[in-house]
Amino acid sequence: MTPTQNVAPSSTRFLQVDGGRIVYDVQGAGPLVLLVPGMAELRSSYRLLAPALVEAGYTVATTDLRGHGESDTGFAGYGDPETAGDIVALLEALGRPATVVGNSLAAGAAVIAAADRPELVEGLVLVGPFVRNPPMPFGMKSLFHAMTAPLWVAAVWKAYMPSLYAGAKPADFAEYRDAVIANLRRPGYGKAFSQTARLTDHAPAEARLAEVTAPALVVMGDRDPDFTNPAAEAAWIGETLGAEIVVVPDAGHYPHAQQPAITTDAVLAFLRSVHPDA
Amino acid sequence: MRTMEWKGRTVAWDAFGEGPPLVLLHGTPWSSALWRPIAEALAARFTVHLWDMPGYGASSKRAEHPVGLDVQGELFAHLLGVWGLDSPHVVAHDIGGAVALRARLLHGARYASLALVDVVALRPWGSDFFRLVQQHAEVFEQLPPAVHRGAIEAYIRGASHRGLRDDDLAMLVEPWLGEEGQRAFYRQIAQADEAHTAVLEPRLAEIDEPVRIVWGERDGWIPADRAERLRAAIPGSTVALIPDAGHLIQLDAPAALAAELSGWLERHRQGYCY
Repeated sequence: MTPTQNVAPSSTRFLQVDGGRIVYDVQGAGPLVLLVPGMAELRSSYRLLAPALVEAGYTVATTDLRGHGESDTGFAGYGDPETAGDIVALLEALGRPATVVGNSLAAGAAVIAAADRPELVEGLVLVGPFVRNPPMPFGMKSLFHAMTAPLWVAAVWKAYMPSLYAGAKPADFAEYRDAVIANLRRPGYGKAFSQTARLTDHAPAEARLAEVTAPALVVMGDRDPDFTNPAAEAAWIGETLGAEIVVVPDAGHYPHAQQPAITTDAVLAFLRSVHPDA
Repeated sequence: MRTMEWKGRTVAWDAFGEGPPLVLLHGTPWSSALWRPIAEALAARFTVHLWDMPGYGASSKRAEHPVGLDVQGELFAHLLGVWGLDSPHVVAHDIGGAVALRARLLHGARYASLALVDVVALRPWGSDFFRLVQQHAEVFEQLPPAVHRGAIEAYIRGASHRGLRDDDLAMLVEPWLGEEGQRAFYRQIAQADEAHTAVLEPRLAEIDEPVRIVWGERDGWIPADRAERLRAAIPGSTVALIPDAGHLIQLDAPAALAAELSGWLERHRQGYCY
């Protein structure tokens, strides 16, 4: 376990779960929305979406994945079910149900959380979502394994990030990328990221899709490089979950940061349908 | 909502948010309530104006006041003047499209941009139900309230592709209940007149503002092929089809519609282009 060295803003809290602490921030008032970033990302991935949701009348909680940001490292596992457990633990600590926004692997985790605890997850927003394993060509797995070795994973990720942010980039992209890479270079965090990346498996999420009853929204960047055909993957998830789909133009894996106005308005319209009286 | 008087009618309206002006027009048998969730999302970047046409929603529904598209178009041009809007962004649904087009082509209104969402603009429009009501309006106005409610609920359900939630259905039906509401519902159908859009058709090519045509692919009231016909009639206009959405696109695909309008409006914000 690596205690955080950072000075936390006053709203920052830590939740003790099995194996370490998960960091989270809470701001605003109104129905609860929990924002969970994707692999390697920090909770500031939502720096453009979160204030707009607060302004529109929602309580917004953001968190760092286990092994990321201000959350601890040294956990026994970093898979979708473990992250789903963290989401459920956060909602229990917050004491009320929420709409869970999950990006990338956190979308798979959010699906598991929604299936496990339907009374805690009243809406699901899946952004650039991995809710099943993408087909991986022969040899890719070992290549990926080599690229994500703890020793050079920060350098590899620094080179790779602009491709994941294909399309429009946030104005502060360089600064944000520096923060992400600096985090990966901290003791223990490169290793935790490596474990997250190498053991990533979304079969547990796919197995639970049919159990999801919460209304859902799929947000997919039309240039998301993680999918051979992003619109087709969004359509498949939409059909499987009975979810509405928004394909965001000129955005890659992070539409909430790359096209914040479009993504915010889509999420707000969805939230109003989850909370008609808000 | 706030109110203003116009030629004996009481017009319910609202304005909120920050940024360039944006006006949303509702259709029939709807009201501005259908736009409100999307209006609230857009209010972070636009000053959003909503209004209920006389005969609809929270506006007055008195028998002596005609509610045809000619009246609504004239009123809309007047409202823009009262609000002091020279060139707002305009988003219109259903007959709101005909109202916005009449204000633009017949009453001198100008827009920064115009988004036409599943609009009434090209003939033929209306339905067999419209024609039946037009022939027997006084009979329908006297239906027992429970029968009226059942009829209007069935009618409104037909506008949705995904199916309506009970609370949304209640929101849509509410203005048409009670004696005044029931009479107003059939009166506005009885006064629907294709002549009020026929005059627009030959003049659509005069529109030189940026125009986006948005349509629910599964619109069962006004089929999506109208989108392409409208695009051909308005120079430079472009089309966005929204999958899995019917005529009640605001409820069938709220996030997709919000994303489409957000992207469209962002491209045409004053002093902003890319």
